[in-house]
Amino acid sequence: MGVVELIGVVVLLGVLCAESKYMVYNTSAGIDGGKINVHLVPHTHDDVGWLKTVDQYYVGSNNSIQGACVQNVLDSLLPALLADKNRKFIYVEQAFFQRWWRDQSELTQSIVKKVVSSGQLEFINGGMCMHDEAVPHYIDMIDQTTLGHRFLKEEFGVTPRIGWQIDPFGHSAVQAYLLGAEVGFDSFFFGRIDYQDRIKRKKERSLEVIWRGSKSLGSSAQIFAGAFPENYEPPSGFYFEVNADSPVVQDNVDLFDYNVQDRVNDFVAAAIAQANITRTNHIMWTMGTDFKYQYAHTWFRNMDKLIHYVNKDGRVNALYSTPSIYTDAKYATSKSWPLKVDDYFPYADRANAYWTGYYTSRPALKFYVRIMSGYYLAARQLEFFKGRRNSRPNTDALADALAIAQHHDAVTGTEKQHVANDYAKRLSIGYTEAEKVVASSLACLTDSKSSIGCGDSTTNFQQCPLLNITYCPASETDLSHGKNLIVVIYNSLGWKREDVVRFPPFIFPQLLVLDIEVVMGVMVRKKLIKI
Amino acid sequence: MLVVNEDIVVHDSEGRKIESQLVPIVDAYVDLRNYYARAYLGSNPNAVPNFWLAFTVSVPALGFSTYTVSTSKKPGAGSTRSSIYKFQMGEKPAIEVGEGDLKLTISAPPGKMINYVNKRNLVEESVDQSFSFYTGYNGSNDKAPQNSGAYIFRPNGTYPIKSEQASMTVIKGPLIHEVHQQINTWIFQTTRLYKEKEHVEVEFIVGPVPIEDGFGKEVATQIRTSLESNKTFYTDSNGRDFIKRIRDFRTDWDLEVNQPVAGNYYPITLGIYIQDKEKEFSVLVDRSLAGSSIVDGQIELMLHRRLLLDDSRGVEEALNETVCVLDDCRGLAVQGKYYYRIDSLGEGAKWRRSFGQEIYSPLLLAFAEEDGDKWMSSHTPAFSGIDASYSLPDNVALITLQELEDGKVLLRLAHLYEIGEDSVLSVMTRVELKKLFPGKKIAKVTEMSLSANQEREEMEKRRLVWEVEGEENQNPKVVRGSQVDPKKLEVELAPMEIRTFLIQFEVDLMTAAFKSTVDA
Repeated sequence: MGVVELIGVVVLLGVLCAESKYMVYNTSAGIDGGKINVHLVPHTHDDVGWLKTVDQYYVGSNNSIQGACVQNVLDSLLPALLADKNRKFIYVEQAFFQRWWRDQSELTQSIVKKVVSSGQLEFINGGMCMHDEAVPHYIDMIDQTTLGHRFLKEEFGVTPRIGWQIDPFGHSAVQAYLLGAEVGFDSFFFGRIDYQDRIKRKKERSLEVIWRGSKSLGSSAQIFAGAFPENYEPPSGFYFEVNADSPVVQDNVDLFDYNVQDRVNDFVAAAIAQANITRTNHIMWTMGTDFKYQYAHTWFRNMDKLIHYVNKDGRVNALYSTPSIYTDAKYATSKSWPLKVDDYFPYADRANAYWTGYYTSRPALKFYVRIMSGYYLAARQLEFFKGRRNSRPNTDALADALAIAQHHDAVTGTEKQHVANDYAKRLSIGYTEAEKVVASSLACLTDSKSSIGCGDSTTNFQQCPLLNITYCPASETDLSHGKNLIVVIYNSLGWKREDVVRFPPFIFPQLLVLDIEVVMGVMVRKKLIKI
Repeated sequence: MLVVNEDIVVHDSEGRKIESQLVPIVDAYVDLRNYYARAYLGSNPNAVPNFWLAFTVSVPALGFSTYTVSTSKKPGAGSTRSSIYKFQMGEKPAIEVGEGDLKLTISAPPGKMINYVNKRNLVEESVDQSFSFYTGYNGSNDKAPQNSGAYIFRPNGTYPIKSEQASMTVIKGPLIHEVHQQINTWIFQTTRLYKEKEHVEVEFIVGPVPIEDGFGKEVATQIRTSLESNKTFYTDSNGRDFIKRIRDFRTDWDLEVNQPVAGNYYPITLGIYIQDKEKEFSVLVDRSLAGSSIVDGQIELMLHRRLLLDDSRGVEEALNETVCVLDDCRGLAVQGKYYYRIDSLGEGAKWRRSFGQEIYSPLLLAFAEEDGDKWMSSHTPAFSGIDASYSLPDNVALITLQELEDGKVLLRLAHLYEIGEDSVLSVMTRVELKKLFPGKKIAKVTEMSLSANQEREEMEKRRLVWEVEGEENQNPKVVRGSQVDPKKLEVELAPMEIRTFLIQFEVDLMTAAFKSTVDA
């Protein structure tokens, strides 16, 4: 091809491009009282550890196991939200958000604050993780939620309104009334209920209920609770991750495979199907799933177009929404709702598939979490009695480790082995620091000479985290040379307590053996003897 | 051979000698110690102590007591050594253990049958405790494969574990009685009674669960009584409210039963109980476990799971926990405890709630060495963080006491009982805040939402009032604690209520100055 001909081709291309003009999509739709309202709720579900550790998920390493990088999600989200003020997003897991927040420049942080205060980015659930609901202790659920909520209050001045437990494997009464209503949530949404229950609720349009989880607190701690019709993903065919296989909305008339009408028809059909099993004319589409929005633009580009063309079509009304907007819309209909009491356990997703194994899976990790929980409660008391230091050592690392361990693939025992090890390692690091707080507080409190402050207390208290394997170097001490073992015993309960303590002391190991004495051929008596 | 004359002696904060007992550390525990301590040390721990030293302590609320352990040459002055009896099969019909009101009469080895008698309240019951395992279902060749795995419990048959051992060891002393049973080569069980307690403590070591036969196994224990529990049992929700469960039944729909065991399992965080017209039988756990009542009168706990197949929910690993210490790899052994007690109907809640608190918050031990006997006179041997004359009401727990970064204190108080749970304790109760903070002056108390991110009043103001079908405009009234009067500073708590407060103290300038020096 000659030079002249080449120029000709370039000119021709330029003419063609000039014909397809920049398209402005109308994404401003609000609620339309006369139509089915399809609330598109863009979200990502970011497990605080499962197949990869929490840090691997954050930075996007170990991708041969799972291509997942939370940094990509949050990095790509901000420009996508700034591109159109009607776009909305919810973010849930504060363990990830806090990691990302600490990495951002002041400028980025100030932009994030703007999209939060405008309501484009809304924090929901807001705990450090989406805790499991079967195996955590309620004190751990409260602590991990508090940790996330107080951060959001301090940094953004916001209080999450919505409970979002979309993945945990069944749902507890305590979650509904305590970690829902008593936290101040206006509603609570989840994805997993028994398959038989779900069939009936769809038929009766009772997926959405008023849940009274506590017999004692009754209606004073009730909450609007919605189970999703299938799962926490979009309707089939509306996945728009970079590598997803759903048909993208192709609305460029100059390109092949234009499909706007097909996509609008698909959308309307899916909306009507869901509206048929839902009370009121509001339905929610959870637009996202595990670790999605790694390139947020692909989702928003397609949702922009869907909202534009579906509303132009006019059979249903599509809008960018959040669970808060959805809840307010439901509330505004002034309907009354079916009552739900007790809980949603056990969970089966089909016949012969009861998710009741995880109630016991990894029983040693479950014990470690529980014993650390009790220790954290005691350590905070002692930290207060001595006076908390914001510098280290303090109990913050243990708080963080315990919070993450409540995740629905952590204490549940449903993570890969290397991830279970990571949770245990974090607990161990957190414990080691809290142990120092406890030791120095006890040294301070036992030091009677100082009435204020404890700068000069010198007692070096040792503790025995390995007492469960009968290993306690601190008590296995040689008392043969006039030494005494001092045992300080702390009770974190609000009552005086009588109890039996036990630990292994160590005296003359080389001299003590057991002698066996047979009496009447029946009893065998052992005696302490010296060789 | 000479008997050792040197004894261990324990003294309390006031210098009084107190009773103590030496309990032998048996082989099962020595093995655990040697293997797992090596994981921490890289080598075997030096020598193995022969005994546990056990003694009764009395510790004030939110406080500590100090005890000294020393040696004495005076014969007979120190700890009581436990008597050890070994019973062979068929040698004796039964043996009684229990130094206090609770007595267990255990049948001859293998010792399955237990007669339980509480001499104080005259509750008597026969108990039969055993182990079994389920083999994990292998669905590899099915059309819709569903194996038993980390998430899903799908048993393929249940197999009783018969005690292979012909003997049973009984350990007796003034404080503790223990019955040791080596159930098989990989299950060891200690049944323990404390003189002053009216419950049975069962400590198990389960594992390594053998898999050489190619089958994954899920190990459970069953405790059978004669209670006519009529398919009904109660399990806690996250350690809080108890929920009624009925075997093979759901309140919300007509259950189609396809898994008669797995489909009746529920999460146990605090405990499980059954009852009939006369008695209630409660089991409390030291960690979350699966539990159920598969037949009337019985309670079952799933203790450990070792499986060889993935259950197709994404984790793509078998739940086959294996520990390697240096080059020595073994299936994970799990040691744990559960506790049971039988009460007259209506009497069990008090134990479940108050002892449940003790399980969650075990006593914290700290050790120091001291030359000579100066400690008690040179240190504060006993302390309580709250007013010495005060203790929380029996139905209240302090679930958070935490100083925040800004110096305010986060306080949570929880009523421990549901309405109707206990005839005495399921009532409105009061906590005096002034008594919780002796020596400090409370400047301001702000009631917060549970997660302490907004004022309670603000939260209540904007709460949406939803309506329930059939009770339009008439949400039933619920009684709750009233607002805290800033002068009286008393917190009222209604049954199951948890209240959260931020507390500001009047600033003590000396403390503030000291703190800033320390922090600097």
